[in-house]
Amino acid sequence: MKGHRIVWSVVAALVALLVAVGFAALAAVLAGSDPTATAFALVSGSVGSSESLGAMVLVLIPLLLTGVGVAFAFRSGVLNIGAEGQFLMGALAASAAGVLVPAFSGQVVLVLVAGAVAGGLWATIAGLYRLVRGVNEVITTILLNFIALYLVSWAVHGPLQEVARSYPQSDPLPASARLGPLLEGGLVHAGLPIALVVTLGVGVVLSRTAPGLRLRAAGQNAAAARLAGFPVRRDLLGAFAVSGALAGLAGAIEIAGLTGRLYERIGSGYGFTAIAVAFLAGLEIPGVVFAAIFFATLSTGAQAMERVAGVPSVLAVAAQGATLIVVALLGGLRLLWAETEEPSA
Amino acid sequence: MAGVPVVEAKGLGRSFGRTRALDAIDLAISPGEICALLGENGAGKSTFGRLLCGHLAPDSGQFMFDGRPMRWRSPNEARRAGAAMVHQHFMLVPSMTIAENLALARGGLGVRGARGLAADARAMAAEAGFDIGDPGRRIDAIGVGEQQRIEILKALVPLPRLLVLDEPTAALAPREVDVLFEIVRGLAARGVAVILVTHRLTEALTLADRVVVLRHGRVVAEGPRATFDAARLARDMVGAGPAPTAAPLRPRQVPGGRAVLSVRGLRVVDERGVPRVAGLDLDLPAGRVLGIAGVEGNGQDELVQAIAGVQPRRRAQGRIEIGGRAITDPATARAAGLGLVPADRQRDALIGPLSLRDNMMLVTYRLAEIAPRGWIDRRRSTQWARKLLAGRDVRPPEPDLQAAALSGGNQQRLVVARELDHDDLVVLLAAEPTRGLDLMARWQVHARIRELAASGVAVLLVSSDLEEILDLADDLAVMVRGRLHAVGATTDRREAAGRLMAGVEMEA
Repeated sequence: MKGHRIVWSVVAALVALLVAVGFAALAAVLAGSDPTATAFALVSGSVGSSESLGAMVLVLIPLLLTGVGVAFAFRSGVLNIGAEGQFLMGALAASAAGVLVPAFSGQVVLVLVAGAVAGGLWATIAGLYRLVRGVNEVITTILLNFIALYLVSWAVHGPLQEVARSYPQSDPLPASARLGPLLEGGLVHAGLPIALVVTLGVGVVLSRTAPGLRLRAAGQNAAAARLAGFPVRRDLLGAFAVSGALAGLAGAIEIAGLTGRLYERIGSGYGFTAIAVAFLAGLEIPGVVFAAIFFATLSTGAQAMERVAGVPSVLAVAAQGATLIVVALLGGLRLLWAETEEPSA
Repeated sequence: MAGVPVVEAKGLGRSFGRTRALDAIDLAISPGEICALLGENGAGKSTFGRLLCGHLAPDSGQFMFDGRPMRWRSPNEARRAGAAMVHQHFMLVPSMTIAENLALARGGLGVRGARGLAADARAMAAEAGFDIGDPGRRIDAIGVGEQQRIEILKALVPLPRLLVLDEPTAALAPREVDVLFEIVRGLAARGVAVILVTHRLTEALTLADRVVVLRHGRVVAEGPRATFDAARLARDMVGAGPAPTAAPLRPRQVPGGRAVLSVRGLRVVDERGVPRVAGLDLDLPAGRVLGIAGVEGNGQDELVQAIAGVQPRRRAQGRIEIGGRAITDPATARAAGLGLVPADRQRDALIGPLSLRDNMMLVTYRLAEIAPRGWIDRRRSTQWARKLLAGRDVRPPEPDLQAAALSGGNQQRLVVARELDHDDLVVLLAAEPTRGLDLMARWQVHARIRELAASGVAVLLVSSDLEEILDLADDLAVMVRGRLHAVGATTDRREAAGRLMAGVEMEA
């Protein structure tokens, strides 16, 4: 059974890759460019050189953390599609902790913690609505996305706006609040090891600890988990909080590692792509790493595609969509396949 | 019975992984014949039925349907050609009504409104001679017994050529079994070939024209009913070794004293406000077995859920205590030492996509046993699970396997191993604890329940199987319309209980 699952994931990933490349080639033909050059640009622009690889990793870091957050939520039976809002709240709180608090050495820890806490609290609002009022979190997390978006907008026009007041952005964070580069002079910052360690941690918690088992149980069959005596309601709230904290941490790392300041539309869309990442990974935490690499490659490669081959990069977004539809289709086929092959004596 | 067999299997076989579930079966069934397929859990009975009805493809051999070699591409194709199967696990959509489920079985909801669908459902029921009550009720609001009737009805319209019934009586009350048997005999009289998959000897001996015994995927005995008796069948099913016999009813000192389980003034209404448990009191001292019999749907499910701690606000009231501790939710019930075998294992006890190992940990104290500090050691938990699974002969005892991949009987064994096989129980709440189990396993579960009672566990046994209750219970009550009716020890318990149960049946 386990073997089948892994084989299937590999098949799904390969098919998804083929679809994406095929889509890019098709787009190139439609745009009147040379398909080979386009495909070459897609690859070389994302993994072809150390700079492009670095640019890809910069996209990978937030996708990985938000993707893990979404996968964690869905595995626990929490349909959190508000990673975008939780990412923004994390970025906002991180910026506040970096800019408003007087600089001190090690401030970056405060910045990251603030981001994670803010993201976690933001998701917990939706969790409380579900527990107390029975409101579906799909609705609340979407609505909270909008609120977060406008809170950031208000902040960079108001209390967090730079002292010069010329642009809607915050002042840069002091060096003590930033994540340094991983290698001297390199693009990639210390957010990468943090994201990888956190991913590993979430994977271990989910598969090797009692709370992880309780969450997986409740996510698959809440009635049975409840009769087992598990604290289903408390766990549910915890799942909201952890999932939100992961997205919030991604937002904080984006500020502390990459942009150094808050502005409108920061990291726009990571929280939504995260849902695609989680599903391509089949909600398996190790799979999220590969799915995030896939989407990060596609997204950075698409920009190169536009520069080199003149193919609009929005087509890459369409390619992502096509990939997802294919993955969803494969998932459905797998269910059918499992049905007819279900052993029974 | 002469003429072309409806179905004729030639060397039919099927493996699952390394397990040869069915090995070269030759078998022919004539029109109007009732053939009982007997065997233990895992003998290959269900697999045979599933092959004939297009749910599985054979990997060796072939079969003829109406004299022509056939290979179904899907269950639908088989159904259209006249091969229908009634499954042990219900194939019903819980959130839809009876009428809607019946319409789905006929091919789709179409554009008919609720009233039209209800009329169709009544017509269907009338054609098959069934009483289905109000077809506008949702599947998740009716009991398992009623669900089973709907499941059978689905397979009868239009009339099939071959009908495979997979453990059809598992959830039925004695009188319902009689009704079912009448229906099956009627179908046979109309020329339908019937395969009855069962592990209940009496059913095979009562109903079948011919008996076929399977063991480890092979036919080990076959012949007309008259050539078999219960002792021979039991020997054939189990193979070498002592045939299981019902444990002798030894007289024992029935303990009394303070109740460890007490229920006061329990009332439960369903979602539509209909009373399901109507003011119920009971006291159960340590070491005593109280058996609650009754036709499915008389409030047993709600009673079990309430004692297990599922007490929806505004729908349940009353006071339940285990060992003096108030039960307000399942966590408090488990903390007080409750072991629970729910009647609906798929819904309440198992999580299909999770591994057997994970499923073994689905009780707070079981989880704490293997992960006292929250860390689940892979090697230790695997060994722990394998030992428990092997102890109940769960096949295969592979902790990494998904629970959904087990057959029904093996799933039940898993639940029994988790809930019964440890030493810290205070109260055991067992609803249909041997549902789907074969003779040997059933006998072992009964022995374990006696052992637990002897060690001081208070046992509440809820079962639609009167024999089971008469075997095990110190005290006997029948649940009728949400109320308990005690059956005195001096009267003929079987007859008194049967009367109470049948009385309900006639009024319903």
